[in-house]
Amino acid sequence: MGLILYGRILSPFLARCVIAANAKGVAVDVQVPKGGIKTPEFLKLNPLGLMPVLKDGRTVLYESAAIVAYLDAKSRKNPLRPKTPKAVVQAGLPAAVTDNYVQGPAADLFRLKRGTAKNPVDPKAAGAALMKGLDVLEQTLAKGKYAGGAKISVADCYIPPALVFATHTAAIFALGDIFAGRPKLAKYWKGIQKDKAVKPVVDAMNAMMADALAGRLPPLY
Amino acid sequence: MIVYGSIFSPYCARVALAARHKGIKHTFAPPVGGGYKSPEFLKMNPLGKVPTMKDGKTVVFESAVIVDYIEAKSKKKSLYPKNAKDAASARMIGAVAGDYVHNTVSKLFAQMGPDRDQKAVEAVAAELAKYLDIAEKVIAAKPYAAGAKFTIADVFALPSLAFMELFVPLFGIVNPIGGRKKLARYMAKAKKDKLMGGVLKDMEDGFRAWQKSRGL
Ligand SMILES: N[C@@H](CCC(=O)N[C@@H](CS)C(=O)NCC(=O)O)C(=O)O
Ligand SMILES: N[C@@H](CCC(=O)N[C@@H](CS)C(=O)NCC(=O)O)C(=O)O
Repeated sequence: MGLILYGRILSPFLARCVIAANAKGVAVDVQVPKGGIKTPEFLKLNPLGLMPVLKDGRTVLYESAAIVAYLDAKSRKNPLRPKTPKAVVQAGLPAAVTDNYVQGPAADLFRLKRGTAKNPVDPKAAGAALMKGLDVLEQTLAKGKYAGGAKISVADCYIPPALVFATHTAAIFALGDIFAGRPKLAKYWKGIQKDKAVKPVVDAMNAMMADALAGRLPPLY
Repeated sequence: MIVYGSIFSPYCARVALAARHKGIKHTFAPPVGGGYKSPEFLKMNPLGKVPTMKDGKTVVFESAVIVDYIEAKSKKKSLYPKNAKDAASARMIGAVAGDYVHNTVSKLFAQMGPDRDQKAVEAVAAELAKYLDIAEKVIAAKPYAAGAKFTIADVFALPSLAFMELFVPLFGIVNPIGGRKKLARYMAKAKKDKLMGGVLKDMEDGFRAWQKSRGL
C-alpha cells in the first residue's frame, strides 16, 4: 500500500510535504479525511486535529517538519537537508523564516477574507508582519536557482506554498506587489514555479485557492 | 561560539542543551548594541530576536536553525535517532511538548500588566491543559522524551516545560503538569540528569533574576 497524506493541498503545511515527496520521487496520495479533521477517527491519527497526517503502512506521522524529514529518508534522490554547517544554515534559514514569519500572517489574512479566522485578525498588523517577513526572507535567500543555492532543499518545500498565500492575500488586501524591491525573491518565484517538483503543487493550490475564496470549498475544520 | 540571549528563554535554552550535549564551547551574552532592536544587533539578525549565534564569521538566528548548525558541526552524539521513523517521532514529540506548549504559555506575556484579563488567563490555562494532555500521550519519558537517549525531542520539550513551570504560577496556574504521570516523571528525572539538570538550574537562576528585576 502506498503512502497517504491526509488533508488538502490548499494547506501550506501539506503542500510542503507534497513538494518534498515530488522532489524525492516518492508517490503520495492526498486524501481528504471523511468528515474533516476533528472527527474521533482523525483525532486518533493526530490528537492535535491538524493536517497533514502521513500514513505509511502502520506508521502514522503528523507535523509537517517530521513528515518532510521522514520523506527525505525514503529515497536517496535529492537530499533535502544538506550536511555541512554552512549549507544547513543556507537551506534552514529561509525555511524557518518562511515558517515563522511569512506563512502565518499570509494565512491569517486569507482566513480573515474567507471568514474562517478563529481569533481576531488585524489586517493592518498582519499585512505589516507579512511585508517584514518577506524582507527577511529576501535577505536570507541564496543567489542560485534554489533558495539554498544550487540544489533543491527543504527551503524549496516551504517557500512556494507560503508565496501562494502571500501573492493572493497581497492582492486582496491591496498590499502592493510583494516582489517590488525584493529582486532575489522575484527571481526565485519566477524560476521555482517551473520546477518539476513545485509546479504541480503551486498550480493545484492556486486552483483551490480560487475555489475557497469564491466560497466553493467548505473548510475541513 | 557566542549565543546572544539569556538561557531562561526557552528558545535560547534549546541552543544551550544542544551545544552542551555535543560538547561545543559557547558563552551567552546580551545582544550587542544594548538591545534586541539596536542597529548593531539588527545587522546580525533583522528580526531582532534571541537566540542569535556567532561562530567566527558565521551568524545564525532562529533556534531550530542554530540547533541544526550545531548538529552539523560535529558528527558525534547526534541529536537524531538513526532510524527515520524514530527521528520523525522525536521531532513530533519536540513539536508537541515544545512548540505547542510554549506558544500557548507565551500568550501570558500580554497579561503581565496590572490590567490582567482573568478570562484570557483561564483560556490559556485550558489550552495549555489540552496540549499537556497530548504531550503526556506522546512523550516516552524513558527517561528521555523520545526514549533511552537524549535527542532533538529533549532539546525542544525540556526548555518549554521548564519555562512553563517557572512562569505560569505567576498567573495563578499552579502545578500545570498536575497528575500527568509521564510528564511528571520526565521532569523529575531531568532534574537529576547532569546535562538537563544543569540547564534547568541555569534557567531557574536566570528566571528568578529576571523576575526580581521586573518586580514580579
Ligand atoms: N505545525 C503543524 C501545523 C499544521 C496546521 O496548522 N494545519 C492547518 C491547515 S493549514 C490545520 O489543520 N488547521 C486546522 C485547525 O486549525 O483546526 C504542521 O507543521 O504540520
Ligand atoms: N522563532 C524564534 C523565536 C525567538 C524569540 O521569540 N525570542 C524572544 C525571546 S524568548 C525574543 O527575542 N523576543 C524579542 C522580540 O521579539 O522583540 C526562535 O526559534 O529562535
